[in-house]
Amino acid sequence: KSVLGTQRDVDNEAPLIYILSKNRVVFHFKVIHYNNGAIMTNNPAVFLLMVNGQIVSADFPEYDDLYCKYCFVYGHDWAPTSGLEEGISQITSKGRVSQSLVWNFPLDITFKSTNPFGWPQIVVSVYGPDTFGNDVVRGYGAVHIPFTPGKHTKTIPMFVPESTSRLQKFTRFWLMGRRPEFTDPKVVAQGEGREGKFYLDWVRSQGFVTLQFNIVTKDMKKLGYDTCSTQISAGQTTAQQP
Amino acid sequence: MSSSRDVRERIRKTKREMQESLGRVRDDKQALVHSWDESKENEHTVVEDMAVEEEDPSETLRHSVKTRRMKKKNKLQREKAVESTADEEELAEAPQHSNEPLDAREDELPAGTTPVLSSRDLPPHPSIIRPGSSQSGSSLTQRMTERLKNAKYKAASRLEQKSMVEPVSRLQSLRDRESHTRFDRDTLAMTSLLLYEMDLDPQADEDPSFAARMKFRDTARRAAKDKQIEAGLPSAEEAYNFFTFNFKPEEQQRQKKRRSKRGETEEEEDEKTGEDDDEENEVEQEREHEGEEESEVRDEDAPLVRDEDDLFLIDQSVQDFLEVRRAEYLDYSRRLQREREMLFVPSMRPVPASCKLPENVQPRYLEEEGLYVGERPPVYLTNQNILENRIMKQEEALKSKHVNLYIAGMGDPQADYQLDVDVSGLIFSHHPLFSREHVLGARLAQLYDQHLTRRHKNLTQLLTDKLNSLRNTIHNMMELHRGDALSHVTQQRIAEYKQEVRHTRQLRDVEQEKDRVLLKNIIREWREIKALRDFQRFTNTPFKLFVRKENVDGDQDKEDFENEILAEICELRMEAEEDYQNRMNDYSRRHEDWKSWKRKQKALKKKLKRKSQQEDEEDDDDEESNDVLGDEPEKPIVPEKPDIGVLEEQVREKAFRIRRNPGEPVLTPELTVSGPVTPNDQCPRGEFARREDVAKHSLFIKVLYNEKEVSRTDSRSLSMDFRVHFGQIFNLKIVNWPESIKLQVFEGTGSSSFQLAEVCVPVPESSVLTGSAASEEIEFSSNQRLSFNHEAVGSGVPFSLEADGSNPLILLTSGKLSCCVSWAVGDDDVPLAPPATHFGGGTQSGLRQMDAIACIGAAGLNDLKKLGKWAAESRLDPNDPNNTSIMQLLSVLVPEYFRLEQLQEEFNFISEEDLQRSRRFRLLRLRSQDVPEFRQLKCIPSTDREISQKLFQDYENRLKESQIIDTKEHIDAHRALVAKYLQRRRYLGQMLSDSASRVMLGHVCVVPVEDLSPPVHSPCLLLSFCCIAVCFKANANEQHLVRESVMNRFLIAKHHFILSDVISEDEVPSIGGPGAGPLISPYSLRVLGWNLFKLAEAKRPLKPRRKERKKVTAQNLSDGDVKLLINVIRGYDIPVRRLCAAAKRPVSARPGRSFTEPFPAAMASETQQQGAEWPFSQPLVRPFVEVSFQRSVLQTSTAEGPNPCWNEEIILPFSAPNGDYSSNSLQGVRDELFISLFDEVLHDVVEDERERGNTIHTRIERHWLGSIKIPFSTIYLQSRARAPTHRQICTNTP
Repeated sequence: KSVLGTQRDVDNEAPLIYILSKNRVVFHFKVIHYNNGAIMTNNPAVFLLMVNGQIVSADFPEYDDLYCKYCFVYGHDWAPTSGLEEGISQITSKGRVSQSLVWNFPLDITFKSTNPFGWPQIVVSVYGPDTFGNDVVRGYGAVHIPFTPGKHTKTIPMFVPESTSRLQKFTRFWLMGRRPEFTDPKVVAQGEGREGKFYLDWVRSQGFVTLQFNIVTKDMKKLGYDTCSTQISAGQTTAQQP
Repeated sequence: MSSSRDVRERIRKTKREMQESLGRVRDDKQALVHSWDESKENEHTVVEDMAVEEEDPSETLRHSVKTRRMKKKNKLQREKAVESTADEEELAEAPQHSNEPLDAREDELPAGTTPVLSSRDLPPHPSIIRPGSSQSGSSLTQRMTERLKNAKYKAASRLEQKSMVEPVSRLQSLRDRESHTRFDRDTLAMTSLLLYEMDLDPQADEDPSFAARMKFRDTARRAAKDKQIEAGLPSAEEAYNFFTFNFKPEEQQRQKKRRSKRGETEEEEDEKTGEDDDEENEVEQEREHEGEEESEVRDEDAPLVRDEDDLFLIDQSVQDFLEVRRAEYLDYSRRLQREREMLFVPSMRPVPASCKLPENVQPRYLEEEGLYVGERPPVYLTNQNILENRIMKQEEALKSKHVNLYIAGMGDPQADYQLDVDVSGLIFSHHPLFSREHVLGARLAQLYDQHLTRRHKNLTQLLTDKLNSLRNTIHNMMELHRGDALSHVTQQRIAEYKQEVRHTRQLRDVEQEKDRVLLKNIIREWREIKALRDFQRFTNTPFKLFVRKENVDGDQDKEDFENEILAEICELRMEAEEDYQNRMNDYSRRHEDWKSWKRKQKALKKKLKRKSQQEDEEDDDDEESNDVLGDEPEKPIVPEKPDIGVLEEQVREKAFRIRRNPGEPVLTPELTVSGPVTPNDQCPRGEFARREDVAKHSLFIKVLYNEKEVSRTDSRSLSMDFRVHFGQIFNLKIVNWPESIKLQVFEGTGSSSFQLAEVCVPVPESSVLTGSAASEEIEFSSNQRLSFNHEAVGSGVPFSLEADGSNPLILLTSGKLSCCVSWAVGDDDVPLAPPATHFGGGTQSGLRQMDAIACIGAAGLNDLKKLGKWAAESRLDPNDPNNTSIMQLLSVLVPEYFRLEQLQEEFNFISEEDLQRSRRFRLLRLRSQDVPEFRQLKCIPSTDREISQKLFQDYENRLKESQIIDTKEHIDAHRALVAKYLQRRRYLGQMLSDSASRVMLGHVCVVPVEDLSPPVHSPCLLLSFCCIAVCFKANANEQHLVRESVMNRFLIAKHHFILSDVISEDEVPSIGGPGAGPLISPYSLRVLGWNLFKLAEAKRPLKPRRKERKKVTAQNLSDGDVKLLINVIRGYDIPVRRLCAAAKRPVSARPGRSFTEPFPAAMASETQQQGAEWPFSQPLVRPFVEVSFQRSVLQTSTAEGPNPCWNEEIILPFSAPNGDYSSNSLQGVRDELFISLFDEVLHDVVEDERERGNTIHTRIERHWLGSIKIPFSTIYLQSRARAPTHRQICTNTP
């Protein structure tokens, strides 16, 4: 009983801490913890996915002075409990020797969920100035957050939508200096609306972005989702590294 | 100083080397020649033996053994020759073995150079003996003394030499090289010596005696060959040749000859060059040495040979595995020749007319005779010549050689086979360009076809007749045996007949029901078409259905009907009674069992009681008895007596359902295609566009024979009724066995075309001939996905026949291709088909038997039964590994049913029942189906017990309601449904226009009310629909309907993106979009021009015009994405403060309708009172605007005066309830936007007058002047709400 009490005390404090962030999040957080406390931790209602990592670098052979944005796309049953859901990095330039653009931009977010469906994806979009100095998009890309615990390095190919007509491309190049963008970068993480002939025909590859994740999961196995076999999980943390 | 022994050693060594060189060089010359010969010979034999050797490695072995034997012989011979100098040999041999390796390193260079230098540069020693030209003359002792002398001399010279600087030697040697050019002919040996000296490199000589010799030989050879000085190692081949060379005895003779020659040249030189005495001497000396050498060479040969054995072993091993050959090259001419044998290249030269014609026939030129022959198609003369040549040659080129490859029996040139492929046309049963009416029309046509075939078969009548005759038979039999006792046989027969009657009746009922349903369906379809035509106000299809009524005599009909029913009832009753009887029997039997069991139990109980009274320990006994008794049999239930009334009711009900009712006229539908179609100019635009598109499409068919395209039809444009008539017959002269005949349907617009479908046509039996073959209709379909933005419904995409987009249908392009493949009939009525034996799977075509595809056709492979049959017939060898896959397939073989997804079960992680039962999965499913109650659920709990059943209550209730409606409505009430649907639409339209007039809904008004095309692309449009639906609360029920239909549309549109939803792009010059070609329309040019112009215009114009905001689609919004923008521009006629107004009155212009006006009297006094309190010349009023919305409050800066101008944009965050930005939840936002106007008043609160100079202490007061609240829904509806605040502002009069 006393243990429960202290837990509740902690819970009561939690809203005070998180009230600075979004209302919604805090509310959920409180309720979940309350439930956890009541039902006991043996039967968790949710599992947690903690993502640490960084957007390490990018390879864009043709461009320089780029920055990137990231955001997460996840399903209905997912909710971020802490951390930043989106961010924008500094502008980085290429080194004299190395051709990669290094951001080392940290990611840190924790999700909770009841259902692996809609597993979160990170959407990275890279922007940079064109010859006129306008900020234009240099690439979109998305990748699922790895679901096995441990360290993972992912390299994702980036692409941009192309102009739908030659003349448009021409005017874009000579007059406007704007290239087509996705209204919402999250489109690249969704299948819907891209199956038609409209969209996929008109993209072009640009470069690569390298991401690094350190994944910690909690209670996945208790809810019946076994993402790694016992043998592999021991060796994986080291083996996964490139 | 070195010891004498050492010196001697050295001397001997150098001498030996010189000797060697001389001897070798000479030998080598021979050897070279020999080796060349030999290598050539080798090559030759290699080439010759290659074929043999490749297969037989032992041959090479034999070869090598032979060479070894030869070498041994050689060695023996040499040894014989050297026998005389055996002692010397030994003398020379021993130190060589012991000391040479030691000396070799340090003395390499000197050892090589010294003798040369000494002999050339130093003055000649007087003690040189001039021997005779023959060696045979010199005795052994003499030679020994000579040698001694020589050694002494050499030692001396050597010592001298050693004192000299060594590098000179190199220079010297260089000089020598020049000098020897003069003597090159006869100082060959010297040259080679020099070369030896130069080429010696210290590293290479691990075994100097061998390596040096090798090198020496090599260089000598080169020098002899082309006098080029080059370093290099001998190749393996050369080395081999050298060591295995068969030295012949003539060698000595040759040497003699050469020596005599040399003597001559020497004399010449003597005369020529007198001053070169020393050199000549040297030569003399050399010659002297040579004399010795002859023997020495042999001496040296001995160890050489011994060495050779080892070397030979190594060489042999290499030789065994490596075959050095020249690259194979077939020279051009031979290749040409070979190709000429294989290929036939028709020449380009014109064929003489005589060859073209049979003998004794003159060519006839019609043109010259004055006949009109028309214009020939243009063909290049060369092509024509080639073709003519080819035809001339064809007979022998084709048929004679490769005839085996083709159909058996083609050997005789007369037999030619011809297949006629008749492609008559195709009809689409669905095409992406179908309009809705076409879809319905196609259905109707299909139903009508069914009807026709059924009527043709007339199963119902057949069965009815059969039934009647059976009944009659039974009746007759009963009549016949009336009174008599029925014999057993007759009884049985009657029973059989009855059984038959029952069966037939059931069949007939089924058929009758089918007939009736079909008729109903036809009529229903027709009604739908009519309703649709009414609704869209044009006609697209020429279908017209007549229903012919045949009135029947009511009474007669009724009587028949009744009779029929009565007969049936009678039969049924008999059957039921029989059944009852059976059951009764059964019952009585079981009842008997049960009774006996009861009795036993009773007895047992009694026994038990008795036992308990006796208090015995017979518990076991009891149990045993219980076991014996077993379980209590179920007490049988008395079967009910068949209720005749119910039976009759059932029969009547069924008859009413499946049969024509008495008095009802006989209906015969008749479909014609004579109806008028609305002409293009009277159609709405969408339909017009569709028809245009149809006209653009064209189709053609490729004919593929054995996977090769042989011909194709002309391209025919698609007609309005989606039938294409080709009517082309292709005559295929075939030489290959027919494996497959395929027809590929291609559809194209303009120049591009794509394959729509592929149809396999079976190869006809040889009895199917052109005249008699019936054309077949083969169905095809394609899984292409197409959608259009006009009236056409598309393929593979959902569309709906309902106005509100419910019940979406997905149709795939499909149709029927009518074609006919048959064997042609020749001129003399001989069928041009191969003999039937080739086809029937007879004994002859073993190949066909073995090849499953050839036997049962490619399509047959999917049919496991056919495959199994084939496997059984062809008696496949089950042990043949080639057949394993088939045998495996057959062993699993052929279930009687067919599964679409055989492996599905393996992938199910939970059984279907569990899936249904689980609340969680149900919730997840409903959510993914976008059911409104669950669409917005988040974080569905992970376990069932956390989900309460209540969650589903609303949904279930709603389902129940809708089901009630569904069951109420009958098929016949379809018209009512259509009417209702129309009503619904009108209602919606009315509401739209209503709302448009009231709320000024800008773009919503554009939506045509009677537009039937539901694929509305923009969700924005739909949002507005939604709003209206909620806005108007006219009638709860109607509203519900409207909302539902709007939601349906919204859901469709939500998953239907267009380009601009996904990609934001400058909409600059959309030149026709992709694929429209490079044509630049004037419109787009204008746009381009306008954009160019825009570049020049000011970035922030002084008088900006309002631009429409870009519509944001609602699908992926989240918190923070949506903001409320409020532009506070200006105000006018703001009430001024009374006091100030009074104070400034004389100064300022009169502010318009100030509220202070009515009180002019009170002003004067107050001015005086408070005049002192307003030391700052504050303006009349300092208004600012405060905006609050959803708990956030923002305000503008403070302006001054009654006509302030703020021109500020206030941005307020907006968050929808629960983060749900779908339209209906946005509609439900109850928040209101408050805009309040305040007057900011500054009160000076400095109390001490002295501080006024350096302190400012004011109090800011805000005086509320007025406010307005705007509900969010208003803002949401009108993207732009100009709030004329002055009207509603209410002022606070003090």
